[in-house]
Amino acid sequence: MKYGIPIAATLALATAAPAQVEVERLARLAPAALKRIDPCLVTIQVYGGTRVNTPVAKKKPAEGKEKNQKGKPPRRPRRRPFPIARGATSGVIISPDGLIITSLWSFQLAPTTIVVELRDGRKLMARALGRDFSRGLALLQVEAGDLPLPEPAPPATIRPGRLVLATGRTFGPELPASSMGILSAVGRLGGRAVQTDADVSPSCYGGALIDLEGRIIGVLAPLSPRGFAAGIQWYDSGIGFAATWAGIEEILPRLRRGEEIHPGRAGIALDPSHLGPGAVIAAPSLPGRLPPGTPQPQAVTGPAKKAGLKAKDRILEMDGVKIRHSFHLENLLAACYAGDQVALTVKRGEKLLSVKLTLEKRSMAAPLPKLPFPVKVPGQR
Amino acid sequence: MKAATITIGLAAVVPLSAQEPPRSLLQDLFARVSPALVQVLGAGGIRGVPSRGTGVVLSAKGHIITFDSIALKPKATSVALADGTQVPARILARDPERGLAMLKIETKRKLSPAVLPPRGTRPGPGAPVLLTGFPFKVAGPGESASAFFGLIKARLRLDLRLRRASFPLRKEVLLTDTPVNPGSQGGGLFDLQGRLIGVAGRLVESTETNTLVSYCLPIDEVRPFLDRVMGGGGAKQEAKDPIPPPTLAGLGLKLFDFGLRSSPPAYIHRVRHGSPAARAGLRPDDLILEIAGRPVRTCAEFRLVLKRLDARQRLAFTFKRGRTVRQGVFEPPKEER
Amino acid sequence: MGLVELVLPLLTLLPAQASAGHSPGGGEDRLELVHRLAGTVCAVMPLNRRGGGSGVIIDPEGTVLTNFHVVASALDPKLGKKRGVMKVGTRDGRLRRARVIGLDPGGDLALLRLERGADEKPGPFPWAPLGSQEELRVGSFALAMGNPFLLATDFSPTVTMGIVSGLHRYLPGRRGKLVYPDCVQTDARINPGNSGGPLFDMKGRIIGINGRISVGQRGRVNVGLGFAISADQARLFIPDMRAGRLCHHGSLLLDARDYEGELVVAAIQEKGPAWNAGIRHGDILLELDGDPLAGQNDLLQRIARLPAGWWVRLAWRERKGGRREERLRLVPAVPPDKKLQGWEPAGLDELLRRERHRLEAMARRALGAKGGTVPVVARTFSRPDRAAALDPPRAILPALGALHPPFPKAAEFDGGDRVMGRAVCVLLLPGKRGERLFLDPDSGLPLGTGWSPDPTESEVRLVVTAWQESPAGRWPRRVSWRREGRELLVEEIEVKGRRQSL
Repeated sequence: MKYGIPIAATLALATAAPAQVEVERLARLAPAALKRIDPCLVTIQVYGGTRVNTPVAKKKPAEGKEKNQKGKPPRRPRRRPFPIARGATSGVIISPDGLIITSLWSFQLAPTTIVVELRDGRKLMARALGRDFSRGLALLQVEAGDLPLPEPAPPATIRPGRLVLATGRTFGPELPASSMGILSAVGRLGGRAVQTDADVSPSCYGGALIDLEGRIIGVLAPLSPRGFAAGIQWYDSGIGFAATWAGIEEILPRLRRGEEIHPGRAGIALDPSHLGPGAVIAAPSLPGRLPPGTPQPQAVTGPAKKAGLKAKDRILEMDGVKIRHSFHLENLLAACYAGDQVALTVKRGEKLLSVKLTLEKRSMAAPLPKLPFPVKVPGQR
Repeated sequence: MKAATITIGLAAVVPLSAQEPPRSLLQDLFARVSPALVQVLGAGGIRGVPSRGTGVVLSAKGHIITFDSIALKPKATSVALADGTQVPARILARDPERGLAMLKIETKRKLSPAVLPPRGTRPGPGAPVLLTGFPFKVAGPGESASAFFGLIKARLRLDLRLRRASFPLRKEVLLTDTPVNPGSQGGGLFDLQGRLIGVAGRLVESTETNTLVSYCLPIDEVRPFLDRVMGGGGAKQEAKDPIPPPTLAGLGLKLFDFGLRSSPPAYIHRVRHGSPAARAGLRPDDLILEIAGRPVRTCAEFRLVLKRLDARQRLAFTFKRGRTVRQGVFEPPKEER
Repeated sequence: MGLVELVLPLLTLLPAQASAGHSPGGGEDRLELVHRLAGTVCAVMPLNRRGGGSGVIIDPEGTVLTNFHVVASALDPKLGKKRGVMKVGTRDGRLRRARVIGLDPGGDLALLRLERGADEKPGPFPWAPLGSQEELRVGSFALAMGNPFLLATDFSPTVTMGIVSGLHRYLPGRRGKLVYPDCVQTDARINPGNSGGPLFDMKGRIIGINGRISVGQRGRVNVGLGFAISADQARLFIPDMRAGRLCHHGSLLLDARDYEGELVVAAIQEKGPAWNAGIRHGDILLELDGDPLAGQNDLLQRIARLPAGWWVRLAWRERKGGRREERLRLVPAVPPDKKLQGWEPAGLDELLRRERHRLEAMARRALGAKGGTVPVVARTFSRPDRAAALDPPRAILPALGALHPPFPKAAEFDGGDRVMGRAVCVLLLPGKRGERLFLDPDSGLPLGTGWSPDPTESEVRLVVTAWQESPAGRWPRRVSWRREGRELLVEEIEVKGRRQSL
């Protein structure tokens, strides 16, 4: 009867309702998938460095409140440190000769010492190479060879609805920590990341987003449309992002060379009430009441201003692609990097103009110090 | 003969496929375990403390496990059973170390206690679980509990991970990606076979990651309390000998920590001759990275971690010298005759 | 050799075929389902600024169901011509204008109609059918789709999956608004921006409209509890919203409390529907529509999910001991919002408006033709199908007779749902292909024409099987109520004369 039983089992599965989540299959596959990705995940500990403070805007005391109730000048708001974490994070081996990709999360403190712990227990010092702020990632180099690489998931299988596991190794040498979810969307953040509803928290930043076969889809990082690290408050919303493995492999050579990659900023504010075709730059006076004394927000700043764009211009084409509406243009611009140049066809009144726009660095939610940070360490000669 | 058996096997399977698809595993699972869940109603009106929690029925006689809270007052505690009946409850025992409380109710109604797994079952990371409870007063008495589906994220000691000293339990807990909320402490964590593998704990703040972590007590950690209370009657706690923590002076270390505003990394300034640190091979300017599996990022953290360790044990540590990372061990002092 | 070898290849073939729908990659059917459903989900945004939520298309004509609080900002009277206009993005990348056509502020629902662009070819929109909580259990999987935090710059919705954590949950509202009397609780992650978007079951049917979440510490932690207005509740209001109405939720204008295991009337409004039926302070409420009442929460929940004007059957025991049962009509729970008063769906088809006036005029003429009187009919029902929960409408047939003399030979009704009440009754006008007339069953007055009915699976058809001549004209004598050929109800009608119309 050795043929009867497994076949009966398969038939029974086949009769289950389509699209059902087969929980029994999940119970079998999840631990196996974790075992497969296990050797490719590392733990990263950072030591030393300074605390970065984002200065809190000095509030002018309200009119007539020069002194508080006790007759003393009101207390100045304390400088609030940026909400950074200091725990261990994870990394994924991306090249057998010792390249590790991780998230920028650990590097907000400009650490002086970076220690990578491999699956086999080896603890190695690491050097920081390039950083990609558009994906929230950093590349590290350790002195090791023949490290195991994860298997990439085939691109055709990366579709919304697929069951995925967000894995990380920050808790010790046992199987990686994981949380389950599905792929919520692909092509987010300018096509650089996939979105998942698995629990993505600092315990798996820098870790791997894998499918149930243990193949890697992307590397988890605290991202949001506003840029790196603005996403920390989303960690438990069920909105997590992972930079796609395929995308990382494309920019790997630049990171290896120590480059810093930034998302691009065009400097245009678009008129939301315009439904297309084309995207219209907002008029200089935007609706809404602003507190007195605040300068008018400009519709055209920085790169757009340098390129000669003006308020109320209608952008019809970008790099030969007809713009359908403002979201379409935003989507296309989100995929660009600082330093990219785009060709725009613009209508101003009756005239048709060709404008070349060079994108600049988008400013971060909080500034990060340069690496390596020169700090005098006791004992260093 | 063989062929006949195979064909029959196939024939036996085929009619199954013509039937209605079976009820899904999770639906079935919840239907089986939800009668064991009760709402625990404590004394209300205490600011900031939820007056409602969840409990799990553990015996047909009416033993109910839940999480202890100051809202559980002796004459003001009652329990709402799955069918809505409210029954007054006696607080049989409390376990301050684990944060648990055992209640006892007397009722003629038939109770459906939760099924426990065999002793020694250790569910690990990646195992699917169903978390049940009554969070946020979403369900009125008689309404069904809420269910959440997820995986076990990890099994670890939280007291070594959190920087705050407020996590009292020096035992392994289960981290899941299912949320624990006010009101759902004391709820049941079930595996796919419907066995109770954990009791939902609280949300704790990890200042290390600036996030909130929800944990469950594994059933094996709850069992000593269950055995003590349900086996006999008493609620006497075993007296615990205080654990002597190691100290920097005891190890023979002086750290480079001179009145700086924020605590620097744990660089060694001086090593006392003949001390455990000297025997372990440490020298000035070495940087302590980790001790007993716990990372040490600053001098202050080193002191905090030491308080949680046991001086009578061998303590493995990791340190950096120059550009290499090395391991060492602090041997406990030999007992004097 | 022989049978063994013959059978084995067959066996090895079968599993491969049978599991075609379940490739080890992870459930192809689910990915296809997600892909198909994502086409019905849209991003609903106000015209002039960033913000907004989600919605779902519920019929091929492009009717979008969403939350009231998603469209509320567009209803400001100061917007003038732009009042009620939103912009909606769909997965095909298009951004279209849409107009609010119906509102249910009490239940936090709204209905929009998509307008096609000038360059668009006519054709059906991808749409999703409504499901029901009755087919769900705690532990069923569910998919939530929407646009949280406006992440979808290409309008591809965010998909999250979880299980049904609870059913028939009651969430109190604020000052009578945004009450969620009957919602599906899920642990699928829902966030600001998901509002108005659908919650699907794994068969691709809408089981709820996501609207509220529980938030934990400091208001920033999404704690895994999401609440969706059940499709069962939405169904009761969709027909009225289609007809361009501002809906109200119903109330008996009484307050009942649990006391010693019984549901006792604690407060009652004079001249309200309960008062008029004879209920007084201290009476004990027993049953609603034949089902026993489990307590004050149960009463609140069951009444609050019904529209105002709905008829319910209430059984109670008087203080003096006698049991009574009466039919009561719900009245609006809260007085209408002043800001919404005078609200008319901006951009309602001029044609429809004219049509509506014409039909109303016709009805008034017919009803008033004999000196302002209406026929009095006695109706008795028998249920060949005891299991069918079918509540017959009130005055539809008299109205029918009044509207279309001479009475057409074979008139058919398309019921809107398995629970009919004051919900829309649709008359298929014979001879006019596909034209449907929507009638208010209580007054018989028409609500509109030419609108597609709610395409649910449970359509009920009424077939007149016998006629009678009476002083009031030619009337149906026997009507058979059928669903998919199964007879659910048989109605016998006797015309007794005429009385003054109200």
